[in-house]
Amino acid sequence: MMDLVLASAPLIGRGLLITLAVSASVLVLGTALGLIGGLCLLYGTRPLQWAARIYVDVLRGVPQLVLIFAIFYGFPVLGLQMSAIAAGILALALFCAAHVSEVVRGAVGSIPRGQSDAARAIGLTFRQRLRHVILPQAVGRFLPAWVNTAVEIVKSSSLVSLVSVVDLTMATQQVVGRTREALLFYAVAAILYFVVNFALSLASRNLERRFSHA
Amino acid sequence: MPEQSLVTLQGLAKRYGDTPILRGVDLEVAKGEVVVIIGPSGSGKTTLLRCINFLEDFQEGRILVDGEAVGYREDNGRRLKRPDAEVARMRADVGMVFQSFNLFPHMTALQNVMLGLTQVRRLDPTAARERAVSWLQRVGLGEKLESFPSQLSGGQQQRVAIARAVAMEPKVMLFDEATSALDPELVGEVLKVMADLAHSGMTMLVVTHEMRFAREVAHRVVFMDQGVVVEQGSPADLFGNPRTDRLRQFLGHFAPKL
Repeated sequence: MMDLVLASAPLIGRGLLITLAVSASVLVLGTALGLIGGLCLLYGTRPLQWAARIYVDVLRGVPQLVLIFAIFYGFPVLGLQMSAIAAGILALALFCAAHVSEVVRGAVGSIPRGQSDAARAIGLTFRQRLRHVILPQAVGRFLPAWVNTAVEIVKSSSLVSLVSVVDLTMATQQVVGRTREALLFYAVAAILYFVVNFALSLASRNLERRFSHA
Repeated sequence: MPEQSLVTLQGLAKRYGDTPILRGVDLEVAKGEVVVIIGPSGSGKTTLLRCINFLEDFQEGRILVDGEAVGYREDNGRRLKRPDAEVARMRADVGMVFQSFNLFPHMTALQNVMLGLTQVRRLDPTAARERAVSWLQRVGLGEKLESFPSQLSGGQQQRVAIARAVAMEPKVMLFDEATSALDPELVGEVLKVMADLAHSGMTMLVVTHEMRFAREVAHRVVFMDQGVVVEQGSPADLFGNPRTDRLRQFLGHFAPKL
């Protein structure tokens, strides 16, 4: 059995790397967009708020797999050819952005009004208030919910296997196909997913402690 | 020639929806003058202060600080809201102290005071630090520079908040019930700092329920009720000979303390 696992390690390892790369790209892109989306929800002009609201509600209401298929199979019809992995990252990032927008709105919105009053009163501009007063305090409230989203994204990244990206899930499938050891290798995959997500939670707990000045 | 007023309110009116909060307030505050505003809760005192640094917008009237119109610009008779940067620049000249302190909890006392100095006054860090330290010493907190707000008592927090506002060297200071959230034994230390500031010649508008402070420190006391100024005058006049029933009734609540 050990031989089997060792023999399949390179393939599974490559799959894991793809899963990590996809998840990281989705989170970076999705968090950046979500930050913008959240600030639009909170501080945007009326039309901007509405646009952000509709975006968030629609994207959260559509299955991620449908988004991936829509972009991978649908965009070429519009003349936009995209590799499977790019389509998967884009689809999940758009989904992630919708969730992060809500998380940002919640975190920033929960900072007491007196904080922005005080920041205004010493003459800080909107940007300065956000940068020096509001966002540093929001980070501590933002992280726990963000990690939940991140964990969901790592798990959802397995959906890209359905457009034939050889991520951890697809690699595992291939190994199982070759060895017929379904239980063994899906257990290996499950453990690897769990380890990634557990590490994520631990990291965030550390960060949270650093950002809390209660 | 009468002394020129530093803060001028002309016909100031504000509503929240259909509820009028301020119903035409006229008020002039001279440079160096200490004006204490008293009145029952809901009389519009806090809103009045918050209009002066444009934390609240208003529908009618004008506010001038050192000759410049607050919040709005008039352009061919049209009233236009000033852009964020302009509002911010004017706010820097109007210090405010809040009932709930509102210190920035993620910054030390020193950082709280330095923030406006580096970001708004554009002092270099050394000069900002020097000025911040000197103000914190002046409010008696030279030993607490590196403390976070959560490590300070209410009275200490409020003194940091005063230092944060005064260090900006504003033209006028607004105090919005600065001692109302404090335990009784901590009120004195904050009032003392405020009195020192008043004696140093700072122009101050103070909303408070501390009648003794009004009597001893104010040059003029303004009594507000239901969104208008009902009566104003020297503390001796106002407390000694209230002319309206409303003021007599209001002062009645404080009788045992006076």
